[in-house]
Amino acid sequence: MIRNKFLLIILLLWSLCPFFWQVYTSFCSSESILSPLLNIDNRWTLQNYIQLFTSEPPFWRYLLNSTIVGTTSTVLTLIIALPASYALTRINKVFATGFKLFFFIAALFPYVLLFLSLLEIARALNIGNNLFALSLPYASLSLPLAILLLSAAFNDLPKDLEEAAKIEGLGLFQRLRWILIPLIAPATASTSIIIFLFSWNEYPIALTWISKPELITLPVAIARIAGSSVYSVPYGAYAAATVLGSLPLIIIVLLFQKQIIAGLTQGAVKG
Amino acid sequence: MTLKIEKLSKAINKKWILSDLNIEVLQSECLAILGPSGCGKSSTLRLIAGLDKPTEGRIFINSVDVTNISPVQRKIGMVFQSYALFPHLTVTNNLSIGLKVRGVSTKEQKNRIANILSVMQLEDLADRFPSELSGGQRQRVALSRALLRDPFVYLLDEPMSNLDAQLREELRPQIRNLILKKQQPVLYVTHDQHEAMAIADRIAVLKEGKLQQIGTPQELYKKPKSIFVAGFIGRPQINILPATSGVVRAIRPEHINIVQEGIKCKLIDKEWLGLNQLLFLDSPLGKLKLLCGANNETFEDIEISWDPINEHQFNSYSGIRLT
Repeated sequence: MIRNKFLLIILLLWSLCPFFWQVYTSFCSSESILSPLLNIDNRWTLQNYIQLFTSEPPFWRYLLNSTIVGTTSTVLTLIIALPASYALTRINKVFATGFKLFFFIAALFPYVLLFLSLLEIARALNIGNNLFALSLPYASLSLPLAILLLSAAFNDLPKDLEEAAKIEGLGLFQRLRWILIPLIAPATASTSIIIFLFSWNEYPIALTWISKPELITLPVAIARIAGSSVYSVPYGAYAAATVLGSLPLIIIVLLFQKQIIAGLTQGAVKG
Repeated sequence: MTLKIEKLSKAINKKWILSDLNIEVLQSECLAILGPSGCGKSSTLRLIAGLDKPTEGRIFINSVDVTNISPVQRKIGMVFQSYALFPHLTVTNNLSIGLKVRGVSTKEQKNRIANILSVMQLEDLADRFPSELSGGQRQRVALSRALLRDPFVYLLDEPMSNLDAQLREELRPQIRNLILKKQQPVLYVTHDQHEAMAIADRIAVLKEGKLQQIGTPQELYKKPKSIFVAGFIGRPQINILPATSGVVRAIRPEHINIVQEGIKCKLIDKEWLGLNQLLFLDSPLGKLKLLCGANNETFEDIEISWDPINEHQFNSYSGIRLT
């Protein structure tokens, strides 16, 4: 037991170390970052954060942009994926397996190969520089994985429950709304996180679809900060930006950790 | 209210899991469908409920052909083996959701749920979730849900198989009082012959999707139509003697008497059952079980006989009863 805990602590430190280092760096003045061992009087500073929030547009704007895109793409994906994955568990097994294989291949497909053609589509439809439009490719790229995860969750539900609901008189939409979707909430939570995370981190499409400075998303913004000066890398501001960029995710995961864990372990133990 | 099934058959992947089943259940009658697992008894129930479509045959509820209509329209009260309570809803919401979608007014919902909760002694558990209930309590919630459905027919799929023996004994009179005394026909699926005999007016014994025999528990016990039914009904199980010239004889352990002069046997083992004791004998006819009073003195050498009236005879090839 004690040895297990010890191992866990090591593992935890190992995974959290880069993050802590980033937090540490974000509070350091630029001289102290470059010479961590020297004794410098003004090692600690809030300058990096102040710089982020006083620049034009201020950093919170990027957080807002990314949140908008993330939320829209998550909601959009779920609206399509929930009914689709339910349907997958109810249609003929042969078709279902075929579709699942197709989605599996689609989920594994390197989407970077698509970004040029996506850009052409955006140009043709004139939907560049629009955060809601950006969530369209994000939702479509997330769909295959979302459908696979959610249909596994639907599959794991005891058949009796839906049949009991049928006998009670609930129609298809009532069954989905009142019985089935609430029951796969844990899987939906973990799937949502995955979709949100993808959209939060996505770079090439965001870079090419959005050019207005006040509309760019977080990854693009961070890259711009890193490349803002020709002669030096602004490590401090860069670190502060990544810390701020990861905070919303950490908060979401902490809020929903129960559901996420339940969702990830679903199917491991048949209830 | 009546239930009638005519030539009901079901094939899955070209394999017949139910063939040519004809059963009629009368008003306020309880028919138990009894058989080993995989005999098609649950399939029968699912076909009647409308959860599966029959390959052939028709189903009539109150003389109306319901073969092609949806489960809702058939108005069926079903209790699942797993109870199938909605785990994310409280007891009250489990009961109200069906009433709600069927358009019962909020006031009437409240009244009916309060009424059923008090009948079922579930008032204190109204706000609990199914996971916070014991097996017996879940079972009572499932029964309540079926009762609130106000159905034409009750279908109970092994409603007590997940409960321990003591609880079953307690719940059996409850089921009898609540459901069996109503007007509706009841179909009660079980693999437990004891339960079937205790609860049902008639029993239909199924084997490999075919009806073996249908009749009152007494008929099945006294005149089993086949070796299979004889072996399935009555515990301890009937003694089947070795076949002689195409005839298999069978005698129930409770019908064998210990006598002064008869077939000489050796006592191998015995089980004391309280009122009775069960003796395991080694006889010239093979191993036999004998049920006698608990106070009978038993010796290593026992001589036995039985009244020929109590003996059952079957065709050794077909297993069908002779005479």
